[in-house]
Amino acid sequence: MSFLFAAPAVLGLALLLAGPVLAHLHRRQIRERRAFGALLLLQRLQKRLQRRRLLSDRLLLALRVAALALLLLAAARPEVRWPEVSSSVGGTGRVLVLLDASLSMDQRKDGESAFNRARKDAATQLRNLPEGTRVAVITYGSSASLLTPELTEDHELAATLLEEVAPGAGGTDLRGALLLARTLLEGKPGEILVYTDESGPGVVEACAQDFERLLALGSTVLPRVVRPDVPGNVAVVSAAYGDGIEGGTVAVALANYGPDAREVPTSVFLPDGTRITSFVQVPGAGELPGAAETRFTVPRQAEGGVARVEVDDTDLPLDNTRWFHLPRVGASRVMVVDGDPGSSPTRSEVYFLERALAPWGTGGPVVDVVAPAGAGVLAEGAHRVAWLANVADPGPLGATLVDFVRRGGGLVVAMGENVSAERYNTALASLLPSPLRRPRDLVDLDGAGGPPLALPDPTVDLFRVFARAGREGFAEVHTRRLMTLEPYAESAEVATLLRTEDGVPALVERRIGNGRVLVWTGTLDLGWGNLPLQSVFAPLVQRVTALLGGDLGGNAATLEGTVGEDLLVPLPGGAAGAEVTGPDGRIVASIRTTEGVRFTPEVPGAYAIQVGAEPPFARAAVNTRLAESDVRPGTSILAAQAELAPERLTRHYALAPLALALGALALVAAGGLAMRALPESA
Amino acid sequence: MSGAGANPVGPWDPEVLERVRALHLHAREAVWGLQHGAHRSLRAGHEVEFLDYKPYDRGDSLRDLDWRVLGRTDRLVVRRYRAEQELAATIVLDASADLGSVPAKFEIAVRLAATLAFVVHLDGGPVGLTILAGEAHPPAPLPPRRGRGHLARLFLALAAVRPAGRAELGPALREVGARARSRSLVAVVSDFMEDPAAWGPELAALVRQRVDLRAFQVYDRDELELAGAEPVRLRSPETDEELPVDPVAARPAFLEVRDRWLAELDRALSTHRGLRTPVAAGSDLAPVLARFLAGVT
Repeated sequence: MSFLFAAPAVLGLALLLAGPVLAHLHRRQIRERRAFGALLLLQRLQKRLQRRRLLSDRLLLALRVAALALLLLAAARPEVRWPEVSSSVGGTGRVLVLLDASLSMDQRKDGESAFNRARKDAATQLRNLPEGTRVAVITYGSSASLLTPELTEDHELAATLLEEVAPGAGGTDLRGALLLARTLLEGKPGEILVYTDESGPGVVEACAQDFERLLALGSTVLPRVVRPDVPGNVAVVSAAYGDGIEGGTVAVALANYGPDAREVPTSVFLPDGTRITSFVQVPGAGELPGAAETRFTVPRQAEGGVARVEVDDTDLPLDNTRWFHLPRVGASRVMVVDGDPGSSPTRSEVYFLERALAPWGTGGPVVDVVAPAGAGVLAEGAHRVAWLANVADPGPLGATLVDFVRRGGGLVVAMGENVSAERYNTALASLLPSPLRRPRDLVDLDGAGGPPLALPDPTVDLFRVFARAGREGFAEVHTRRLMTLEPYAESAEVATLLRTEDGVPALVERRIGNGRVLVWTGTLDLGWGNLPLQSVFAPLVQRVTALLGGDLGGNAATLEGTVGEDLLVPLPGGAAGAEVTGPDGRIVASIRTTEGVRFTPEVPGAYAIQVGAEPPFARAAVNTRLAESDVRPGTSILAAQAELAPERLTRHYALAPLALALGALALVAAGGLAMRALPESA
Repeated sequence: MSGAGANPVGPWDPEVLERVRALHLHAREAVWGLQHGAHRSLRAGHEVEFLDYKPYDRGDSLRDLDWRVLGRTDRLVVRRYRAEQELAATIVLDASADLGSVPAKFEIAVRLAATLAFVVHLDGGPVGLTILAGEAHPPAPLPPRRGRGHLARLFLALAAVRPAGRAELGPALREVGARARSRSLVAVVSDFMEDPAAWGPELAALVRQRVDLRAFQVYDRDELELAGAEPVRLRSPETDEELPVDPVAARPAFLEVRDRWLAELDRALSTHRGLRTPVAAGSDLAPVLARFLAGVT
């Protein structure tokens, strides 16, 4: 509804409102005087009359001002306009029912969703249409679909089909539904009943062209708005694990789309079943949604995977949960295979590794140091990361290590004097990024210095913790000797993570299934360089351990998806026959393309992409569209059409006669009161 | 008594003499206008000596029936008496300026005072006159005396007085009470437009003298009903104070205030055994006189 003036210039005369005030100040003068012998009685009366006169004066002034204001208002010819269409349906002989099945239609009133009410109303409407009227039913959520076989005169069939529609959790494809409706009408006029909540930003605005085309055909889109009188909804708009070497926090942002402030219980559910609850106060929405942020501290040890945040909100339950990826948090069990017990700490890789992994002696990863002969316990699956430190002959461990990595384990291979390229290339051929060649002296081994490492790329997961500070510390790492590798090509599987300034690979990664292998071409003691003494050593070792130590499926790729939108999962080598498992454990329909596996999630939740019984090579956290959570009333469909065809859809009501009548009434009343007005003193 | 001015008008002023004649005329008309024999003597009945017998007529009081004669002769006769003590009357006239706000109001006040004096004179009693405020009248009160000459002087004073000044009823009544004879009659002719709380207590002196107090409240009907339709500034001639008023708007409240004031007036008078007789300006005095005479028993 809008309010406007046909002659707004008249309002400029509002200065005349000062007239009654001035007139009021210039009071009537009494000229007649008379001798009076009973003044004693008047004196007794005076006090009471003064009170009455005050009231009378104020009323008179108010009436005078009101009279003039109303007359001015009348002269400005005010009118109210609002969009309105006839409530009768069926006049064109073609009625299309469009049912909004988007997530926001899950808004509850007295426990019943807007979708349910809309569905029932629409079915009733269909059954009550005049015989011979051709009808069709279209539902639209993430996409629009036709329920009935084209236009039909079987109203009962249409109503029955409509009643069987299930609500969805997707977006609002009103535009697709209107396009479908226009196609069905084949250029003929029709009435399109849209059962919707009219919420969500930009939904109606995006359909302006479609409205225009339908109006041009003589059709009208008649909205049947179903939503609570005061829509409200609290939703989780984002959830993310705070990056850290060990442990961290989940940052959760909530939005309140209702007008009133709310306190909502909010819980984080970790993949291992741990639940952390907090009460969050969210302010009410104004022009912007009310926003609040909170953080949940994740235990020092937690399984990785897809976690979720839930708010307890009964207004719109479907968007109460938001899914997010949680890396493996906390201590991993680490095996260090010590191939060269040193005679002194500076010559002991284990010495440096232990101090880097557990600087205070307790806490952090559990480190098991074994001799090469004891590495067979890796097969028991207790360890997540294995470090081979200057092991002379990995041959006996070959099969165990290969199996360990294929199951998702992380292997770090560090060089040293004991390492023989030939034996490694034989035993670990399927694990190494590239066959080893030979050690290369970059400077004199007995001297000092050597080329420093180039600064690593901070966007790479391994070095993200150095993004804010500490990255420069890599330039302090000098290596005198490095093991060289056969030339290799960078690929999705093989990547060089660190190089010297001269470009010699220092840290090379190879992904194998769910596992990873890192080859450090230097030593973990001071034999070939100064890495263990540098500030970056401890965080680098811990970061490597944390990343590789994700659960045995935790190295899976992480994907984000939205309900109703296609999701493409790139396939690693050897992942033929991959399937997508939905949140309910059932296989979700997917298409294999050259780029990978493509599927469309219909419900929010955690999706796993895996081959057979193998651990998933990718996990997807699928969430609802944020726009659907915004239940604040958006642009009215009727108003949008009224702008396009005001003469058809706008009702006018002139307020001038009313203002004129009220002004005249006020004028008469003021006149009457003025006649009776009490003079100055009595 | 205050406010008594000098006498700018000579006793033989033709206008005054004309007023004296008029007063005589009005007084006699008023007295004779009463039904002959319908009024009683102003003198008290039990303060008299035996005169003679007369046959009983219907209407004679049974208290005057001589039971002894009835017992002896079987005849109904009543005893007749002659008054033994004369009843002195003092007439107090309020001649303040407010009485002159409406000429007819002052006129009826003067005429009433003259008539009362005439009635007392006819009854053979001494009569005096005290004028409060006003101008052109004898500065001192005229004490109660008998005789036509005294009555003439009294009429001359009444004819000459003009309304002026303030009456100050309280001190004036106290002074009258101090001078009044015991068991006399004091008739106050005034508009009583002063706060009863200011003069009511002064009536105690009159009560002590066992004075029969008659209050004649002179008023103008239009004034006490706040007549008029247009706003007007009303001015008190006594104080020159002015108050603007819209009669139509103020009338209901004014009438309430008036009735409360009259109730206060009656309360103040009745506390001291006084009787109030309202006298409207321009009205016939005969009923007033009749009520006056009937009130003396």
